[in-house]
Amino acid sequence: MRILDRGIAVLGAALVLGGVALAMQKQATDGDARRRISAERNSTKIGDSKGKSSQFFLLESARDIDTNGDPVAVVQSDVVAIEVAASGKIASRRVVGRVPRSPRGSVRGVVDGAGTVFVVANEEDRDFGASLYKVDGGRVIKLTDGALRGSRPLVANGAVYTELGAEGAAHEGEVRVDDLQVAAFDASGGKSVIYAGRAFALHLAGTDQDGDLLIYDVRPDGAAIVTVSRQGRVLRRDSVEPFARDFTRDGERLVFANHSPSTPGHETPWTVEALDLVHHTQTVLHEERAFQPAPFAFGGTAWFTASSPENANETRMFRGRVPAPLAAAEFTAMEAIDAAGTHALVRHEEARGDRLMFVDLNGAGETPLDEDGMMRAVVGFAGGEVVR
Amino acid sequence: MNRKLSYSLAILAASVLLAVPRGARAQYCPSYTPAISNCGINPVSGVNPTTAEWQQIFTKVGGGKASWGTAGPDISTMGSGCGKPTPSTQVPAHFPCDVLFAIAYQESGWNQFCKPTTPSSQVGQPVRTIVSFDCGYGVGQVTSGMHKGETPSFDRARVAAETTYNLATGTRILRDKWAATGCVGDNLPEVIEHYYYALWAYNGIAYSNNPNNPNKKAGRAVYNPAKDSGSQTSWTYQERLFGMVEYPSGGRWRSQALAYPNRANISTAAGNTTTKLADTPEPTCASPTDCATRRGVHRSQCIAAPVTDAGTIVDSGGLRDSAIDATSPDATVDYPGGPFPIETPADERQSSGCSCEIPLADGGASAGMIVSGIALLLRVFRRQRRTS
Repeated sequence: MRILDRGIAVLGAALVLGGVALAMQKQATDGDARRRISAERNSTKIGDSKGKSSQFFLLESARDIDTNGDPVAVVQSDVVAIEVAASGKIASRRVVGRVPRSPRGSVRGVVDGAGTVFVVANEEDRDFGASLYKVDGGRVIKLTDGALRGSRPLVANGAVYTELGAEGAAHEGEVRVDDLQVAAFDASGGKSVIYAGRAFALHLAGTDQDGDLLIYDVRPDGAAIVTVSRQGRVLRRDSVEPFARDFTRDGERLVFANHSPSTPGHETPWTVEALDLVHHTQTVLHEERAFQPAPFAFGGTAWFTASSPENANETRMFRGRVPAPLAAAEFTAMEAIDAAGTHALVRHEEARGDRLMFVDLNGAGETPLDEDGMMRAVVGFAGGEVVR
Repeated sequence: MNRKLSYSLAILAASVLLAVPRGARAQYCPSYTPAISNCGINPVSGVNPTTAEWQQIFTKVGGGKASWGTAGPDISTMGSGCGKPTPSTQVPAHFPCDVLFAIAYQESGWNQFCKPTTPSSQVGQPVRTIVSFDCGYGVGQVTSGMHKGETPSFDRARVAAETTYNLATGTRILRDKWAATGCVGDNLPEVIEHYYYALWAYNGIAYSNNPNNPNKKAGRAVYNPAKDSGSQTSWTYQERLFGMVEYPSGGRWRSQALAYPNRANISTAAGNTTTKLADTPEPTCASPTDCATRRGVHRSQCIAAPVTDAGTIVDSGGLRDSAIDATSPDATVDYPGGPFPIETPADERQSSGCSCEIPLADGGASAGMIVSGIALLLRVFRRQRRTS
């Protein structure tokens, strides 16, 4: 019995010591992480908000499901301008326009430097059943229909660009190839087709430093970033893997998420990639095994979603190689940033519901924007950058 | 069968409803007639089944021809098995009721009949068959063969009048999509997740339903209609249906947390010479974008045993009636040829990347060890005091 007691005592002591050691290790790890984040907060002065105000825009819609879970029709979305005071606090909001949409239809928008908002809202439940609207000075003007549902327009070169098309023929069991266009609308509403083709997608990825368009062109035989002049001349094709998304252009590089080429029996990672728009070289900036990071390049640095060092169940937004001063979440994506790099709009994806946050990047915290039950989509900051 | 009541049919209603003040909502009900459209059959009066009756109908239709008998049209056999490891054979068509719950809810909110609100000439008419502007009829929104001049091999009048017949006719389309697309996993008709491609095709095999479409939301979690319906086009059609199975509207069916294919295995633009959807491995991801957390696949709650040959359904007596147990555990099941992967807890995130870290024990674990150790020591001391 004494031997048994001794054995139990030894086991108990071992458990106590082991538990203490683990607790100390975790505390040290947490402390390291907190110190890293704290240091990052202190060093993250990428903009100066003092004495400046800014303005961002959202698209707001009522939720279209009732308390019984049954669908109801919501047929319009408000374009809302939100003023940010010099203090960094949200000062006011006002509705600047109202666009029609089909029940449960999608709305996505973009804003230029003057505060003119362009919205693609789908009005019919089909792929090219959306319309492009211009919202300016309280007036809402339809520029075209036949726009791609769920696409975001692009403002550049004094024009607004949008993705248009018509459904191709359906063949049983095969992915449909559509007749697609990228079209520009000038200030008077005049339309010119900049690029066209039979493809799966012609996605507006941005513009380069010269104002030429960058189009993510996905076809059965592969995908490419196609550089097209504003007059519609194809300047270059850079082949990429067909998993690209979340494009932002920062200086002379286009940054996006993608996936490494697959090889049989070998699971390859998701990547954050940079396409050098001058030398046309591609660089992998970051790899993740289990999920696709959502990058956002700005001010010479790529922000992206990565596994949280503190909690394997969460992700954290990194700025370069260090955690950004943003809360951790199951998934975090930066959606827009203002021209000064002072404020951002960030979406935290959680199983219980996603949260859209207004963030003061100088460390003043995150302000939730959608706690009233409304649905909100980010348009962006006037003159700022938005993920595409 | 075609898709869209919840949205597309409401589009015409939308034009009427545009005058509704912001946030206002309205139920909608299209019911077109041959006199004012290209639809071939007049809507008829009827009463919608109760929820319990609907569940019986779904179960009956899920069992296929042997189950629905003369209440539905004839239907061809379907493929079962993809050599992974089940050998490919032809079996009588049968479908997970879980899939039918979701399709019918997405298409019509489980309604065959409603009181017309559009077109305007039909407002005020009594409750009758839902007929959309594109001639989608009833609960399954059957469009194929329902236009003027078409002569399908099923009874069009019964599609308009009878819920079981309507839904059974819709499964003929689903069966054709199953046959036309590549294998998901081992391609077993009783496994819900194996319908991923068939459901994609059911809505049209378009790039808009490709999970790698850059217009879909980054890092999107499982679709939950209670919070996401207003931005539903951020998810693909098949992702929405999978989400509906997990988040049953109003508790109408039992929740099942379905597994999703890895998007990295779904490429339609990787230099392929065909645009067909190629075979994809067994789904294991916990959400459309999260493969760090793993899930197993699920056999339908309505199919008691797999179908083994092209003769009769084995043990169709196991089909459940209306009593759907919303509280029973989410089953991950075995099937001939081997068990499905054991479903891991929802919060069990796989260690990712090449660092291959063993996760640190959290504070709970270390505290538990300390408490256990102290308890053991106390026990020994007490025993020793007692014996002395």
